[in-house]
Amino acid sequence: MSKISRDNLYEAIATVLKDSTDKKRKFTQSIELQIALKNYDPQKDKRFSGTVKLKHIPRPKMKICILGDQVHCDQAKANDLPSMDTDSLKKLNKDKKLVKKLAKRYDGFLASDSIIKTIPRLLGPGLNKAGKFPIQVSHNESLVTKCEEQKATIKFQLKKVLCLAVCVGHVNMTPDELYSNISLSINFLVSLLKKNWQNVRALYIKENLRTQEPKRQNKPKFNVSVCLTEAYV
Amino acid sequence: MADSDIRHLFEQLNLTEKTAFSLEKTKEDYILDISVQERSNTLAATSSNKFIRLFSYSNLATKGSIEGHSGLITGVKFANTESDILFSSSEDKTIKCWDVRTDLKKPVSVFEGYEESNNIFTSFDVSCNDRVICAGCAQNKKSEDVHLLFWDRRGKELLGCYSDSHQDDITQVCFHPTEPDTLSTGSTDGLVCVFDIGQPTEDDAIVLTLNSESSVDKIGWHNNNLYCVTHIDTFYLWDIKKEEDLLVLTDIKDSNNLQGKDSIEYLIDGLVINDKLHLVAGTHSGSLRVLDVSGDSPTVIQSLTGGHTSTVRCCLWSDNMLVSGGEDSMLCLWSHRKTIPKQELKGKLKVKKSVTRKAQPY
Repeated sequence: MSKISRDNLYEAIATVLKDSTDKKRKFTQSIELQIALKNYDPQKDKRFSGTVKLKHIPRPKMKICILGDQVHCDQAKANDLPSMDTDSLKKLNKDKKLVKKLAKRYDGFLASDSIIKTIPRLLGPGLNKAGKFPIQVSHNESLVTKCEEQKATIKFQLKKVLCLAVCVGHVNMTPDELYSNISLSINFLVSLLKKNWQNVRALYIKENLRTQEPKRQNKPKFNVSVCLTEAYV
Repeated sequence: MADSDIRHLFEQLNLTEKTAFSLEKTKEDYILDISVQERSNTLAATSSNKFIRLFSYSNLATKGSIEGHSGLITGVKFANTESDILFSSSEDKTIKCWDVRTDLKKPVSVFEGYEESNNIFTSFDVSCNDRVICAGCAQNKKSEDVHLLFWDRRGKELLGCYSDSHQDDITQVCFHPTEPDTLSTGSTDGLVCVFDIGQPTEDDAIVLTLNSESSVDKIGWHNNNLYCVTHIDTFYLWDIKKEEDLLVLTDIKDSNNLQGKDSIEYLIDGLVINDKLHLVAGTHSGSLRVLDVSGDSPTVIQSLTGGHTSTVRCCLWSDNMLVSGGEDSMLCLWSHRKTIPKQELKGKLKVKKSVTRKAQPY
């Protein structure tokens, strides 16, 4: 199986975008890349799981809260980003229900490096269990950039079925932005596979009709799906 | 040991022995985990085909085989204080304890989980004093809980479980080498947690949570430092006592010194050699490269080639020798002793039989 040609991908993107404009919806549909594997045994081959950082934010509505020290909280307020300082965290009193509520309110968290090591003592394991443990940010880094980076990072994980879907963009992005995100994702994912392209059975890009991220990896409803690869092998 | 001494040590390593895991051609055996007991000169290696083979560590001669699990074997570990005790964990929901000197057919003990916990054991470890066994489970699909279970090794009873610290499959469980109550775990949710299991509750026990921002493949201790290798080939090293980041390597494959003939395609594991932590990486054609990560940029100390022909999955260092296991069904021993003569290497997949066991059926 050969690589995806540039024209092929642009064509596919155009098809998906056109279909989304034909059927207007109240929400912005996200676009997903679906990868179907072959010659891969989930029992014994190395796990296909991790994160990839895209260039353009695929889910702009993602809400990140900053658990910051004085410097970071000030920066957050200056940039209109939600934040909480150590006093507000202490007020939660390690109450499991309150921590769970906090976790539900946001899609992700950043924490100052001086604070992140105290999170287990301040909040207990609530953020761990919710899968939203914060990512560290230091004073040397720009808070806004780090936030944007976190929004642009997508998770992927293959479980027992040889198929994986990752959100790579949405229908209001330009074709160039989608091209950039999709080709980066494809190249990164393929580079992790032992036999690279020989492990790829098919690639699709699809619109996702769900408004929210499904909690489990059940089959999403897809409308248009465009196959990027020539043939099934 | 000075850096130049370590370099010298490595330069003298060459392929001394190699053996095929099995001669059956039905299903490829991937060697996924190995453990060595120096005192009894025994190496245990697991196959992706549900059995464990025992070998003589010094020359890889076969010593025996354990076929006691009905599911994928996810880990194997020799006891720290007793020479002949071996533990194994499996997706068949059991952890078994074997006395490898006396009986390879019947385990000494079998450890099982609670009815409520998922019990698909994906990883396990035994504390340094062999008192506590801890196993991590795969995520329970229905409740989305992920359990970490504890057993008293002698009494065999379940001591308890943690279920709040991870949100996805626990891929690694690793006790501290000298502190029996210090435990670390890693998961596909990207988190590495350090616990003090002497505390009364999970909330009190969780000392530190570190975020690898990806999915954890391997973790290990070097004194009070904890390293982590992820599934996307990034590497972290943390000082647990001082709660500091010592090393974060996110673009190893693009490093200046790892191009051309020194290129790597994936990371295998951290390896402590003469009290210095190294990173072992490899290529899918079977080359192993031992990397020095103490400088500005990772560099290759030694490439070990001619042993494996496919992806290497595990390695360990013991008694001045390195042993590696791979997806080519081969176990390779690298030491200072002289290499196998070329004629032997050209032959078909061979399994070394122990000289004293000629009479026994294979």
